[in-house]
Amino acid sequence: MTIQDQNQTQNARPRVWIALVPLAAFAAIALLFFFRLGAGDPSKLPSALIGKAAPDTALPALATLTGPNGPTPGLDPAAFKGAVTVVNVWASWCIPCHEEAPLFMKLAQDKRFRVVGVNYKDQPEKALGFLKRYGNPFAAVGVDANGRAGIEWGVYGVPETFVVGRDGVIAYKLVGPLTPDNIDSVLMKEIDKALAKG
Amino acid sequence: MIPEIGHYALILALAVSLAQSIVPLVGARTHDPVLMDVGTKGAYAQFALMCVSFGALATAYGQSDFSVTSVFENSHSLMPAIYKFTSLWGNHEGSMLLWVMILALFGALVAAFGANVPTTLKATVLAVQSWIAALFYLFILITSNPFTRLDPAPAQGRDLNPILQDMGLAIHPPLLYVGYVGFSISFSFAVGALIEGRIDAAWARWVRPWVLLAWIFLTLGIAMGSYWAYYTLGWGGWWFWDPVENASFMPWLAGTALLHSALVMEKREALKVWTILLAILTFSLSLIGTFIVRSGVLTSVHAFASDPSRGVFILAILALLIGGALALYAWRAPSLRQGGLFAPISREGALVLNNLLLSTATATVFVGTLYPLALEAATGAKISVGAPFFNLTFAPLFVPILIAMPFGPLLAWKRGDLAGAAQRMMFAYVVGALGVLVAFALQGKPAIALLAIGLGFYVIAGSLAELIERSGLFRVPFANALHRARGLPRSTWGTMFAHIGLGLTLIGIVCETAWGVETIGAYKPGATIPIGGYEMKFEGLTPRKGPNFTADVARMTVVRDGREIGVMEPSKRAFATRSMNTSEAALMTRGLGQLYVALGDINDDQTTTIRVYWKPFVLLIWIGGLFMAFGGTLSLSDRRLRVGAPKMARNRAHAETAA
Amino acid sequence: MIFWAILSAMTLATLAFVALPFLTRARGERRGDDVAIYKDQLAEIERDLAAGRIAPEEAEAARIEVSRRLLKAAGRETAGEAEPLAVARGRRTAAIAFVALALPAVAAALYHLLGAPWEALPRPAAAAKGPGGLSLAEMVAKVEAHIRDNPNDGRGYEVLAPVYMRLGRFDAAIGAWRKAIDLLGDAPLRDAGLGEALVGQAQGDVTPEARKTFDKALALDAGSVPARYYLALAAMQDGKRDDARRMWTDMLAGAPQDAPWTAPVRRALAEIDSQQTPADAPTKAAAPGPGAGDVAAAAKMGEGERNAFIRSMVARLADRLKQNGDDPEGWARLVRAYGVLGEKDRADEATGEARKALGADAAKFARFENALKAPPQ
Repeated sequence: MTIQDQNQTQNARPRVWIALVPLAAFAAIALLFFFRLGAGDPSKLPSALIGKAAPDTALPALATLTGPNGPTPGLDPAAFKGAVTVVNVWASWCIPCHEEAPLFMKLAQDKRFRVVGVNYKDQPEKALGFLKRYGNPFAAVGVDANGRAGIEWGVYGVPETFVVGRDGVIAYKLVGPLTPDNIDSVLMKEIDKALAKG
Repeated sequence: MIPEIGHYALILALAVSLAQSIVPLVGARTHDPVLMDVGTKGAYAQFALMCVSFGALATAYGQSDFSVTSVFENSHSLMPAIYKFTSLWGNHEGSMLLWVMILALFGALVAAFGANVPTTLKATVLAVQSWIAALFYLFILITSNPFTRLDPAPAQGRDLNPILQDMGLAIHPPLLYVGYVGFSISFSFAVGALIEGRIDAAWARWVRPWVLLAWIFLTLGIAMGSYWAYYTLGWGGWWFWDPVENASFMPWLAGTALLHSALVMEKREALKVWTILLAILTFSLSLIGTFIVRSGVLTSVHAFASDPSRGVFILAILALLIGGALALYAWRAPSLRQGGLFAPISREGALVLNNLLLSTATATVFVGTLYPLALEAATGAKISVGAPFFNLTFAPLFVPILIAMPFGPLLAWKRGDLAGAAQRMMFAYVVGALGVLVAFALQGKPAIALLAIGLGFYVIAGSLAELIERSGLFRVPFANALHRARGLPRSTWGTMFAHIGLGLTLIGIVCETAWGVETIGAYKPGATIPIGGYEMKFEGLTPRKGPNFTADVARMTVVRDGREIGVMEPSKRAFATRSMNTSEAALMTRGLGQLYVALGDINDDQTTTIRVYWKPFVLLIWIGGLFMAFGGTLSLSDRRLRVGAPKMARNRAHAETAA
Repeated sequence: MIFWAILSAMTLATLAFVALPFLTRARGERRGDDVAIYKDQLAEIERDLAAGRIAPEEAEAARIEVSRRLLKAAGRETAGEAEPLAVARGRRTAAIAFVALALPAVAAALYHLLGAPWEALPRPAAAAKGPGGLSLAEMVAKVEAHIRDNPNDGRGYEVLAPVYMRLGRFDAAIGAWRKAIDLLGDAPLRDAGLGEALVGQAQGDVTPEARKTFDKALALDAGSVPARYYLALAAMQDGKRDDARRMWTDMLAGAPQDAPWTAPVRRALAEIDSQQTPADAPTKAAAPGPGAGDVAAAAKMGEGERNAFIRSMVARLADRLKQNGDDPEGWARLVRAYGVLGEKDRADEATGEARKALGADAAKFARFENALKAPPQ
């Protein structure tokens, strides 16, 4: 063996460890990716309003809309205090709203909490038609024709559903439509939490 | 029938790739030319089959065959013909098919033009290429099959995202993919070399043309993508440090380092570890980019719909390929023989510095892109890392690269004379200082922009230094100098153009960033908007109908020094089938700068929100990219890269193993 | 069939091509031009030295390095690796056998799992070309040209409108139908066509304007299929489920054997039936009126027993309706039950209570009345 070769063998051992560094770094990155894959939708942003009082947006009623107890009133923020309310922001032009409408009808049967709606940037006739088609699950419907109230609620897309606690504070916001999957696993859990808070 | 033929062709390609993954490797280990040749034939077969498959899907799109799910989801019979074709790769499934077709193309190219590569290495490279191909064919067939069918076939498609109905889309992804996927060859060569246990100068010589080819296309793809975003998204921006943009930029940075590192390895058989690792890293970054875009782990304007099952599959592919390559490296690294020696101040030394800086820049972009992911995993906090971080960390790294860049070609090999080189760069400093003065005279501030302009001028002048030096300009009669210049190897010209391109891009970036102006306002027809020495007169809005949209077009007359010089017509389009609006910006080129007008919302009070920008010298950004690509092409055509071209060794002592 | 023939041909061609090396004379292994490359590098050192890109001592050192590599490369080249031919042959036979078997097998298996060969059978190709071999776009262009030349030819618009509908261009279809009606007058086909286009534009919503046109169509032709279908759909969208069901059922009743439009009507009916509003479902489940099982049991009892049994069930139903009167079907059952028991005043009383309980909701009361008229379940 030449001297050069001898030197190289002596240098071999530390080089083995260094040579493993790239592999180790990659393994760490791969693990990070793996865990983030299971973490759910990265586009779901937490609402900045969670934990704050529901905005003081009084909204007019949807004309000629009636419910089981007579004409359906508009949105009155004072009514948030004292009962857990589920606020659904919807519109007739929003396709996922059509898909979640039957689920809201089911939700409305649960008498432990109120279900109210905010009709967002919509036309009254179309909104009425929507409710006639699927039924009216709402104890109250506020009409937000120009979207200003939506801004106060931090709405950036339709549909969105809020859970407001007995104290009038926003407890949870569900972005996107209600689905058979998330109604039990997510929404009902949050509602139960709000109910338990008392 | 045609889609099913395309489907079967894809399946056959997978079958071939499986055979090609094994047989040539066995042949390489046993030096059996027959078995090794299966690699070559297999590569051609895969490419032919992928052409059939891709062609079948393209036909389905062209005929608006809505029984194919992919066509239904992404096309519409009213779409103009060219966009029917390009919408093929505007979605996940179709773009993956394009991806593997280009992978097969490169395999076939190596089979065809790799005649100077030793047969065993070539067979191994083709086998590794087939591993990659097999994994991706499987991925497509199992999770992202573009040939799934709908029965009954719908009468009409769902239309393409309107933003993607544009010529920029026709060109940008294929160019990018050729770049991305092209680096698979250097990866395969690296893995092949590690398997064979021979990593030397000859290997570097064989691998360099492929690296250049991929790099040229990636440069063009990124430049094209940037320009497309600039005029399509309507914000006047051309680089957003978006995760997907970063995913294409990182392979480019690593690829540039690889290019230079391979040069040293070929010349001096030094920097072996750097070169091998960079070869593995560049393609790994391409793969990680693929993962980021298609797995839903990060959101971006580019990302395809998120689908965790795809993400897991790609992650598995990553683990196999990248993990495998790095494990191979760890195994072989201790036995790598030391290469040629060189002093720190030398051309090799300068290239090591280049490697270091580029790799650090790559790492910076990598960290910035993945930091939100890591932070969310650790603490659950969602943050976004954007331009401020990257500008703060990336720019300072690039300044030393730019300063050192012109020095490199002037330093001698093995031991260079820094002082001498610095002296020969004198005129570059002068030009740089001149640049600062000119900028100061024209604009005055900010200081950092002035310095950056000076740097850009310096880079351009410095890049000319080698040419001037070697042709003897200013020292011998001009005619002689011209003659000598023409006799210089193409790679010298290539280097010059590429480095000048970088300087041009820098100047373009600085001018647009520091001295671009913007006004936004709500205007009624008849209003005049002054900007950058021009006056834009808003004539009014007119409705117009397109093939599958209705538009509101604003007419803006451009006036300069009292003379009307043109009309610009930005518009807002509403698409019928997808309730979506796009804003089409209007651009007017004035010299190397551009006037840029985009429409905002049409407000209740009959005013229109209009954004007007004046971007001086913005075109230099992309012209610089073109220069870089051109320089690369010149280098690629250098005769010396083809030394060792095939001369069949039939009369040599090798026994011809009879069949 | 041609399709399978093509697939087989593809497989065979691929296999033959990939197996080509086994069948032709091998070219011999190329060992690489390391030697040529290193020789070239030596030459380049000389060039660099001449150009001043490398200092003389460094050039000498470089020459030594390159020469060393050159010698090593040359040594590798001469060290041949001869291998017994028999071993090589054996391995090759194994390899070609493997490929010849595995390749088609893998391809066939995967296609069996993933492919859709039924899609490959020749289709009527109605989607691609109309009669006369013209593509849809060409047809549209032709008719549009005809209209440009003959703007008062109503028939041209009549031909064009359904084509626009097919292409999903509802605005254009509406315009075409309107022009056809202007030029040629109202007709069942034209009015119904206009109505359909309006519905399409409203994304499936039967707007009041659409209803008016459908009414017109129906007035001209009581049997107009599209008019009846969409008016039933309109009823459903108003929440008048039973009206819708009745209208669709009537349509099916009068339908000729294989009329192509029965399928969508059947689908619509199925949808109504499955789409019970939540208010319906619990009451149907908890209906304490006599169900089939009960009836069977009651049939076994004696008459007195039976009456008592029925009375107890009716009493339960009455109690429940008093608590939650929001059940039109329930009220109807109660009223009928009293009728069956011969207690007419109780029946009238129940009807009054039903009216009070359901009165606010006209739709619900309508259901109550309908249920009364329908045969008992």
